[in-house]
Amino acid sequence: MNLTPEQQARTQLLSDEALYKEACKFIRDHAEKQSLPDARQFMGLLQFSRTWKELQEYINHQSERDWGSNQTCPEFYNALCGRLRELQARYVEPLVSKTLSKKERQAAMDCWADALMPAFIQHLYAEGRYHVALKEQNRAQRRNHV
Amino acid sequence: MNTRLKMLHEVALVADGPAFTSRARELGGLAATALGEKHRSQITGLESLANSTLKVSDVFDYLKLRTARHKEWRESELGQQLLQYLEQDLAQEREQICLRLGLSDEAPEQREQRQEVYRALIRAFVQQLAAHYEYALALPEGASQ
Repeated sequence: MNLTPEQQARTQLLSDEALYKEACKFIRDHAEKQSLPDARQFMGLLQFSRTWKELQEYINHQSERDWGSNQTCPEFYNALCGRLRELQARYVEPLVSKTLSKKERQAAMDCWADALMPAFIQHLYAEGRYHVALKEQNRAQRRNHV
Repeated sequence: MNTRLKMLHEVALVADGPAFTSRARELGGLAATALGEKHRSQITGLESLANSTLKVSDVFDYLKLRTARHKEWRESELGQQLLQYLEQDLAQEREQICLRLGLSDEAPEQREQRQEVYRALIRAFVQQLAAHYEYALALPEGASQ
């Protein structure tokens, strides 16, 4: 199943109006709590976000991984897993007709999610890299002042 | 005049205004100082993205990644200032234009038109910034911009 040009325009609008803000808020909340992972984690996320299925598998894998003493990564991935479920309920499910059969409904939801979730991750990646880079610059400037 | 023409007319009026043009001049000059000729492709890349994308958030993401990856964008605050202008000041300009044209954010068709106004404002700003950047580079060093 592919999205029609009208449906694609809808995903572009949702990406600009909602997903971009959601991604920025997610990163800023974690930055405030000092719980942002490093740039490598954002690169991994981007790399495994070509489809919704691949993204889910990657995030589940990352949240269940043994991170040793690192508390930041498991917390981040658990929170991201929860946020993606919320986004799915808030933006993807309302786009799919309730009159479809269960199987058709699932296929339609996967199709919308394949278009919307990578867009969310693209925004998350850019905002995350931006925050991490500015934080590192501030830290370096403080070191140089001491 | 149909809505699309009215939108383009409103955008052209804003893009011709003193606040818009002077900010484009300032940021174009800052880009020339920070990036020099060596990183021209980053400004042409920004211009080409602004001209072709259907999403304004693609432009914001591009600026964030340039700022994250290149110290020239960060240390001069070019990335931070440009993002702030596009995300905040131009978003307000978009609201004013949409208010004048009666475009609300409720009807899907009008939401697409609101997005188009924002895209056109960003495109016009980046175009002016790129022109000032090129002009500043062409001036002899130390000449007034």
